Amino acid sequence: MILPRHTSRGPARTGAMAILFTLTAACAAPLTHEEQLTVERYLVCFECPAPLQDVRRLAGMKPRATVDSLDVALRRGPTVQRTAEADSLLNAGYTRDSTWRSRNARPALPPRDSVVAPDSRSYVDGYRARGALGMGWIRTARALRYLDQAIATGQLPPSVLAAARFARDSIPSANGPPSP
Amino acid sequence: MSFPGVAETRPLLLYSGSRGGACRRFEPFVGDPDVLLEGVAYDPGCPAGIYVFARGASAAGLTVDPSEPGSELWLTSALTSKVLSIPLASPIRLPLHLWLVADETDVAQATALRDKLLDAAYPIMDAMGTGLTLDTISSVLGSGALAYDCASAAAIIGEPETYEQGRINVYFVKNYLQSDWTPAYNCVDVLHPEMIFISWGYDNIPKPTLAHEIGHSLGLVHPQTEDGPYGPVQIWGHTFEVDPFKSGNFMWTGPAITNASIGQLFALNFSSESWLNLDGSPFKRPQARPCQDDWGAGACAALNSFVPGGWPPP
Repeated sequence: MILPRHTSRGPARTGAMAILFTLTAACAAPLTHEEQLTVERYLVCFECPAPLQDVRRLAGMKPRATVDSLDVALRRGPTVQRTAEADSLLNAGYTRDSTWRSRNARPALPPRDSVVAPDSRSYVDGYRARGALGMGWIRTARALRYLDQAIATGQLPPSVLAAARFARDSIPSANGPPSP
Repeated sequence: MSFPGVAETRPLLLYSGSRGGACRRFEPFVGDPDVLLEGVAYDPGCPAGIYVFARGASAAGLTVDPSEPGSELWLTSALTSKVLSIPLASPIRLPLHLWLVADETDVAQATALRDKLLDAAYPIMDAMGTGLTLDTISSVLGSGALAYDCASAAAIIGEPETYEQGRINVYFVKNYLQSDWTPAYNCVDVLHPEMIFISWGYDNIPKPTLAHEIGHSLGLVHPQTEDGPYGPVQIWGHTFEVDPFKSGNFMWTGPAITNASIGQLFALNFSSESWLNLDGSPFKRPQARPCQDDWGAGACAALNSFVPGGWPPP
């Protein structure tokens, strides 16, 4: 049986629109909790190539949400809660190190605030810098726009500004990260 | 049970064997400084062993191998006398060669980072009761023609001026992988866990980075790795059963290290994948064995088991 043309076209168009809708929805979908943790794991990485690959793969599926998450990291740094947790660890580490030095006849550490506060700032700045570098690797128009905006504020700490400029201007556009 | 040689500290004892009529595996006790173990018996069907970790001392292990007649004598004698004394030696001095890969104008910056990371690493290794301290020598290498990365490991090892056999070689390079700005990397992926790279040109390198990379050299992995929706990913919380951001665990990538798990202490010292126990190592322990690479208990203490009440004790 040959169907009238209008009856065969309708479902085909509907199908095409449905696919388009699904793709658009995926691109715009927010990150799940696990996906947000993937981004955060990159933001605090010590050995960054693998966590960066995870973030880039995530950006392949959810470019907007991934870049938005990195942009928040660049502009604001870790959440207040994360910073408080980091400060708590730094304070515990300071106490431990002071005791160890005293027990081992080593020179005393400088006063607590002059050690913990710079380390806390460094933690926050490292997190922010990593947000910029992640966007530099993803390199969508949205990511580059965010980098431009962040640089233009003139309010980034020096190490974060350097990372943002590097991410904006010096990361190759096509190639993946070099092999470890 | 007492531990001569340990002063001003509370040792951690792991007991495996028969106790209270059941087989126990890596049961933890924190001494004050001695440990009282009740209900211990010798049962050839129960793998028996005692392992001790303490601040300022080398880790110790005593095991029974049922296939080796007489290996149970230390345990049966202790059961008869009701006393077991385990002397603890000084910490193992882990040999590191620290290479400053920097031109003359940059050596001061590289040196400053080296010193900062060493200052952090010494108390971490000691206070966690790893049984290790560091024995370091340093050399300056010009940035030169060699590529300093894990992909070039064979070339680096081939030059005696750039690699020392029998030591963990730590290379302080300006910016490992250039465009990646990674703070550090351990070459365990290419079967060279004794090679570590650290970026001295990276402004915000966390102080525990060197200790963390040494952990990789000694067989430790990150808290959790399993297949996720887009390849291997770490699932937080599984290993620690607490939020890793708060935990300060030895192998978490936080701003400070404040604890180690029982399984981590065990693996550092007794895993056959630890650099200490590789063939030819002068530190190789007779109790070394392949450790399970999942998170539960197995041949080795579970990586995700923690001392009740926390470790190290204050």
